[in-house]
Amino acid sequence: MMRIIHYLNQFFGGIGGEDQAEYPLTVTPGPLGPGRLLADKISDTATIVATIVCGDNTAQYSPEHIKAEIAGLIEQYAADALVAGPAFSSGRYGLACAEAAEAAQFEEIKAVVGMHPDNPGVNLCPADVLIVESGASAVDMMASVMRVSAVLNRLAKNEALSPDELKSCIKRDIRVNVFSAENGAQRAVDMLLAKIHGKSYVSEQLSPHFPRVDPAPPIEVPLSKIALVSTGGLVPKGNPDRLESSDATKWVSYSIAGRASLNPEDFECIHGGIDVTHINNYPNRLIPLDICSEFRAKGLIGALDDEYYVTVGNLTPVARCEQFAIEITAKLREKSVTGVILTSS
Amino acid sequence: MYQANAPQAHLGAAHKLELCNYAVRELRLGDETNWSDGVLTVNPDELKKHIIAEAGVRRVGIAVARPGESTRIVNILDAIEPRAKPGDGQIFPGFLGAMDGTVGRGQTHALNGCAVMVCGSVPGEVASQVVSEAMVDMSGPGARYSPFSKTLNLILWCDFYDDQGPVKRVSVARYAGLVAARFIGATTFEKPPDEIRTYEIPERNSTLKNKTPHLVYICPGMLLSDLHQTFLSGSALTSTPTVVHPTQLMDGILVSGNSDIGATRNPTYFYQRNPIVEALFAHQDKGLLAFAGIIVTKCLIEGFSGKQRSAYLAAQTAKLLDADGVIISIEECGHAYADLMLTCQACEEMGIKTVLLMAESAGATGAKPGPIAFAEAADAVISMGNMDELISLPPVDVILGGQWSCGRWMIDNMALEAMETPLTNIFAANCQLGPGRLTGETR
Repeated sequence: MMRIIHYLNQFFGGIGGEDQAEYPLTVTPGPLGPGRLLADKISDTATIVATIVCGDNTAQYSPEHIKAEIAGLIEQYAADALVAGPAFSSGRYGLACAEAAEAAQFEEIKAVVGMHPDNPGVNLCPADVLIVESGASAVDMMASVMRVSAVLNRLAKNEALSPDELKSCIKRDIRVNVFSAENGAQRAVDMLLAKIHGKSYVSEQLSPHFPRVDPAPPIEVPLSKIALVSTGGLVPKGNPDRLESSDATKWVSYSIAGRASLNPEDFECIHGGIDVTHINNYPNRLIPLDICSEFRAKGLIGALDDEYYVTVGNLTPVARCEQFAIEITAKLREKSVTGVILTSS
Repeated sequence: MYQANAPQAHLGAAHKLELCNYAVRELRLGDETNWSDGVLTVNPDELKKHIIAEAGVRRVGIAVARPGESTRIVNILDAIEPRAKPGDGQIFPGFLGAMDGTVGRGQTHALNGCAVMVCGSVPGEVASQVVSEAMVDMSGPGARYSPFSKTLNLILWCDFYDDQGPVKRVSVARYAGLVAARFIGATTFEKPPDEIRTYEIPERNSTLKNKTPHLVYICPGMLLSDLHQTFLSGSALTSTPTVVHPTQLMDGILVSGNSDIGATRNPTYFYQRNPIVEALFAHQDKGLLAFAGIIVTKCLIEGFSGKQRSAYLAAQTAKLLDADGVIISIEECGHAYADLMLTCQACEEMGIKTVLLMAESAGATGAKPGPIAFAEAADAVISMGNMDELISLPPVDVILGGQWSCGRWMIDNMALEAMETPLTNIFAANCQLGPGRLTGETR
């Protein structure tokens, strides 16, 4: 029998909702919640030896620590495989599942994760982790668990996935470097001649899937509390938190309390993908505190958040940006912000 | 009648270039500077004096790096093929020569298989831009990725005056490289070449013009700051497209001044011996197409309207050159791909078929989603490979160009030691002028 360790968030672990998002990582022997359903479907080939439950915020605050703890539990329970989720389209839960999968990879055991294709966790899962497609919400729990169980039964028996089971796994589109026979320029001319003569050719790069973001419903601006958020890399002079000029690993926030404008003596732009001269001459060009203060004085907007939030978008992976967005949004909700002015570089 | 160009009347009306190739099979330092029967000998003292007098560097170290050696070259700023023009011919116009009717015409002598490689440490920032690492391993696993691990390289290791800031440093180093390239190229004068290749675009009523598709090459070069730029006949590129003759590239009308991400730089070497130009001429020689010209413009243009302006002006220019198809290369990555995609879209809208060359930034695991911009019309894209792939480099015996490798991506690695690095640090590993065979596959 294959020994499985199962990762759940606080909600599916039966602890509570958003109010329990800080719940610490705990472990219980045997299956819990959706794990009970899963255990029933794989009872011939595998057993769930333990269930890890962790609050979604806890998993985001110290990912390295959480990964180490999960790795330790994999060893303690001598697990052969880790199952995480299904996380559906829940962003923070998906990111936590990706962390759990990384821990499994570190321990060199198999990992199966359940997620909706639009979950930002998909892109953070290690390349060889199987991500079984789930619906967008828990309404799809039964069908999602069935798909996960089919894949687990195959893994336990060391069998190849059937075509339907393969289809139920999210195609990762992992890009791999290979050497071709001809150089790029020759391939380009051959491809162009084929295209002009209506002959078949195979493009070497296809358009990535850009998820659509539906606009939020309009807000009552005079009653709103507005926050200023930017991917343009404006920081206090000297860059105290060492925000990276490209490939940012974090977002930061800085106080604008008592300021009506961002002056060039105190702020600078450290974005590495643009000429920053115009921003450094007048930082409000990037983060429009000057005009927002004016609007607030006139009563055109209700209130301004006393901090601005900033990262650098330059070459930063989309999945990480989505993670930053989730974290910043949680903070904005806490501060009852109802509208955001989001500026890029 | 006033005849400004009287000395060039001997070239006639034809716009063609005879490229005299002198193969370099061995490169060594010696007592004289001379090319003879495939052996290029360089007298380092003579070259040093020449460079220091002309270029304004403080000191320059000269060394040789050959394929297969346990040598790592770091802090590379540019690579140039040694070339010179006999008689009144002008090479590297705007830097060493004048822009006149000889540029791209007459004869040009080229030392084939050899590169002048300019290196130097350039710390500091200019408008938050820095000089990034670009390195070449002459053997081992890294050698598979850089085209310059296959050339015989003459290394100019530049040392600068303390009061020379980053912009001044890259500028004098660039000048040193060009001066050396012409100086060494001139060793071939009066000697018979190994091969003469004649390049010209077909005449108005030729069979090629009448029967085969007309292809244009759109070549955007990087311009982001004084540290990262491209020169057209000595002036920084603008976003207003300019038509140039393919043979003018061979005479150095485009010179790289880009010292950003090593893997996606367009070195001057690949403007002179441009892989796309070579492939277009090779197919033209087979009677498959008529090369109709090159459109040079800039990429990493600020603001969407600026990008759109350049894209549609370039497409309109291609249309006026009667293009059936265009190949579009690019430099750098990030929002340069918005320039690339808009230009593709504009051309396709005007009924011109396009093929693009583009590297990938798919993350170390290959799982990161594709570029920030991708037009629906971009249905024929060549991949120059994923620049984020990590490779492990072994320790080496010899280091040239600096003791430390201090790129933006990799702070303070001892350059001699073993290291893990993304391809981004490997010089021209993913160059989007198409010299490499690296590509990407989905798995």
